[in-house]
Amino acid sequence: MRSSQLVISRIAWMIPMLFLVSVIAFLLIEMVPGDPARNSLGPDASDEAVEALREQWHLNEPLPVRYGIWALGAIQGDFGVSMSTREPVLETIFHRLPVTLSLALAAMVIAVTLGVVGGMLAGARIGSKVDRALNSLAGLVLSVPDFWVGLLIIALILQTKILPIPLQGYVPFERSPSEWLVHLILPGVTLALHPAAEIFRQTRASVSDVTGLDFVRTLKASGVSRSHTLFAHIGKNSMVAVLAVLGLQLGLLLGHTAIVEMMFGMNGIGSLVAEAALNADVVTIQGCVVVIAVFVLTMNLVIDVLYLYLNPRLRAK
Amino acid sequence: MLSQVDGSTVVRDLTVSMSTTQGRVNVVEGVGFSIAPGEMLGLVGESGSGKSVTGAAICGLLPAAMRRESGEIRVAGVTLTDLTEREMASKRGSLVSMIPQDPMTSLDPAFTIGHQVVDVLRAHGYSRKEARTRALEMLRLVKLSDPEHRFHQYPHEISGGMRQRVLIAMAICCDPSLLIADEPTTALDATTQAQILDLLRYLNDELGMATILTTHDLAVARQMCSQVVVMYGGQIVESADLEDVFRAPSHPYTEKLLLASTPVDEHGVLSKGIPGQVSPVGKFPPGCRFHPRCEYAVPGRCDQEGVALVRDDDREVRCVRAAELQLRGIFDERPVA
Amino acid sequence: MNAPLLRVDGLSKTFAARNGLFGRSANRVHAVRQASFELSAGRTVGLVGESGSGKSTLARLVHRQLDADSGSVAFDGIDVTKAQGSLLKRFRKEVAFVFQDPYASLNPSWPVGRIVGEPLAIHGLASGAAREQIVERHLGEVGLDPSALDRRPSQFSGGQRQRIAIARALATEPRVLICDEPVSALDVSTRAQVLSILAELQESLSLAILLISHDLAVVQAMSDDVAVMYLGEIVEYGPAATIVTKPLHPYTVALVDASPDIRAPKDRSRIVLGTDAPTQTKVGPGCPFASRCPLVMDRCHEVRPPMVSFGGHRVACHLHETHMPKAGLTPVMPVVKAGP
Repeated sequence: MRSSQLVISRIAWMIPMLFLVSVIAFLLIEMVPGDPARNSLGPDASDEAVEALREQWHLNEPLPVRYGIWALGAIQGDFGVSMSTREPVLETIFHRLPVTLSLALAAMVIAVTLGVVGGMLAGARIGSKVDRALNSLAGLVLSVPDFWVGLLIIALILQTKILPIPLQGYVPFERSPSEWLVHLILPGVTLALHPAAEIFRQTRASVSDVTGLDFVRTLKASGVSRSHTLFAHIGKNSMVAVLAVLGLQLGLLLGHTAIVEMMFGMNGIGSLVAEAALNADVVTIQGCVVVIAVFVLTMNLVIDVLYLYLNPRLRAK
Repeated sequence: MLSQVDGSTVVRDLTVSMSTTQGRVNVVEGVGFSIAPGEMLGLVGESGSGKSVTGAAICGLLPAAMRRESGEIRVAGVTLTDLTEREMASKRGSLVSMIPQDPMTSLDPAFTIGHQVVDVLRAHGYSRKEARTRALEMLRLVKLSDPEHRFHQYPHEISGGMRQRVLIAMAICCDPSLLIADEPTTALDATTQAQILDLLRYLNDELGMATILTTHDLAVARQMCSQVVVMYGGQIVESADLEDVFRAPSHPYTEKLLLASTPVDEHGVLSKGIPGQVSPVGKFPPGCRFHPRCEYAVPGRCDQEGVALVRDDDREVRCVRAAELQLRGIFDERPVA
Repeated sequence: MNAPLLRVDGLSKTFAARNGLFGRSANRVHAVRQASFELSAGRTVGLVGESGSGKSTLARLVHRQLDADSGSVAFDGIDVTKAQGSLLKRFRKEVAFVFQDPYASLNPSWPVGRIVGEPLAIHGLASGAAREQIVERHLGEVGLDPSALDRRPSQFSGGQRQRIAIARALATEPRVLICDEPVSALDVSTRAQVLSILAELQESLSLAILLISHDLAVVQAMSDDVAVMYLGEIVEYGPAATIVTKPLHPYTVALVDASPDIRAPKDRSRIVLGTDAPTQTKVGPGCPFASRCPLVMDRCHEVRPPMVSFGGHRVACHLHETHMPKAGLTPVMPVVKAGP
């Protein structure tokens, strides 16, 4: 099918997907224990006050009705008001979005760089010492929780004062680009660990497979240099499989920011969701879920477009 | 022909071993021949004969499990066997070139065919502009239809025959002295095969290269080659001018192979093929490797060690009974026994 | 002249080319068009054609591995075109199939005895010791001894595996054998061996054989009659000897010329066919060969050539219509001296 057709159809699909995601999220949140109204007013509030708030928030209505009310508002851009802070959800989200996006971007860049380069080096020489070392390292990384490694790094730096990198907080890009970058290093690396290892694995396997294909032999027989063969030819052909993993990893990554944000004292969407969950702040959670979903779907769309570039056979005839 | 004259390509005493669970065994043993520029040599054999391994060894493209144990390979004055891998890499494409067997899988599906030819040229020092011009020239030389348009097409958009032409273009674009065509028409239809073979002959004549054509199809060999080297079980069993061999072979295996290449003889009788099959590598019988399947085998002579390749005039044969046997060639009218 | 065992009439099959968002077939691939022929006991019909000719699809249609869009297949007088259930099962017992790739058509984890015995199990023909005896007998028929029973396919060579495949096909004592490129994956000498076995079996068992191959030499060796296919159509049909010595269809002439013949003189001239073979989707209303035929006329692009008969030899080509001056004679094709 034509590439433009593909892109348009995918964008069109995003709408029902978002709808589905929001419904599922709504249902799941329903299962969160706790009464948002009581949480908001505090344990000392009177029953009537709580009941009144419950009425105001339509909490006694049947589920479909509550969803309908929310959805109607969401379509018009009103994601409601936070149950704990009383501030408009969408505003809060947009305020905190840059933090998470910066973190996610940093982690993605680090993960892709480490994973792909490592994977190519290992995959081109399967069985060699380099390969075995890298592969074991990846295995190790995957078997420990990433935030544990993060804690370890913090403790190490705190103790030894090896590197003058900040351990906490976030600095907006507008204020100081260099500060922004430096503050993202540690949390970025922590968040990038697992995705990097997975991307490494997939790249390694892909490169190894492609290296065994006939056309690589043709290139060698024609005198094309080893490095050019690896990075241009093998590289392009292996990336298709890697992209698949990338899409998956990025989705997981966005969901994973919560812990890292909290560890490093960053006020992003992740920590917002975590706080909201603790407060049973249904509205905020719902809003965050939808926004994150939009990002993940968009990212996957970009990846699909990249597929078409890498694999000419999928393009229009 | 097989004289000691310093021809364009000389291979001497080539032995290649392979690692197996029983240790290292030889898959090619004591192979030697020479080719003058402009000549085409047919390296004929079936599976297990070692013909493809020989071709790969000459290009330095042996798989990891195999290695050259001994032998000398000299092409246009350069002794390939003395070169390091790095030096050899620069010689591939410019001195020695190989046309791969399967056109369907031998091109990179992610790049246009023009790009791939350019890649080869740039690897040998051509500038971007020069490479592009020459690539188009090459595509024209191999009679690819509509070359300017095809330049920007991907492998999956063109047919098998066209892909084979592109592979040939890649192999000759840097003017190699020796070209190895590895079963170049196995994967192609009869009509396309005929065209590709004609192209190879034309290029061989025009560009004055020496060509080694590996094939199991004797009809193809006859059409294309002036000399033939018949291999069995990793060794050369017969080597001479092609017409001479086909008219009057000296080795029983050659005789049987010729018979099998004409499925039905003049009397309408179906050829029987050769009973049994070639022994697995490393498990050859003592003496002549073909003798368990040979109708002329004589116990006491054919199973004794030391069956050597003997030169007689312009022909080499590895058979103790060569002088006594009157074997059938392709024009023989005598009915099959 | 024995009554035909297998009769194929006007068999056609199209596939939807994968195009458009939801598989809307803007282009249909005509894999097989109006194929008709007959197969009698003890005789072999060879189906020859190049890639894209539809010969493998036709073989599968005849064996009911695919369902035809139109036309009929009749076995022993009974229409089996739409057969299901027990009728289909009986059909499969009588008509067996040998596949091209001896490395892929045998289950690598089963011992040979079990492989060859499977059809007997499926059709409930024998079990236990009786089954083993039958298996041994069939293995013997293809030249393999009983020690093969417990070994696995990986322990055999390509030629031997193909013989095992033939033994399996013969397990149910079929009357028809369909062989799809049975020797293409084998060496020259092994090819001769396997064909030789097939010929012997045909004689002793009075088998009717449908032999499919892209190699004219193979088809010629075994067949009594030959059908030449091009882009899904049988363009010529006749006795094997005549097809090769006196071909009528320009494509057949080119095919015979292109097929390597070890006895042909070296620097002979060759027939040249314009471009490389086209794909199946671009078949117009006229003759499928029109775009490549050096003897093409205007008529050829517009009107499908009718099938014209000359005794037992029939051809679909406008050159041979009754009013044409050279009808019934081998067309003379333009040649080129040895060169690309």
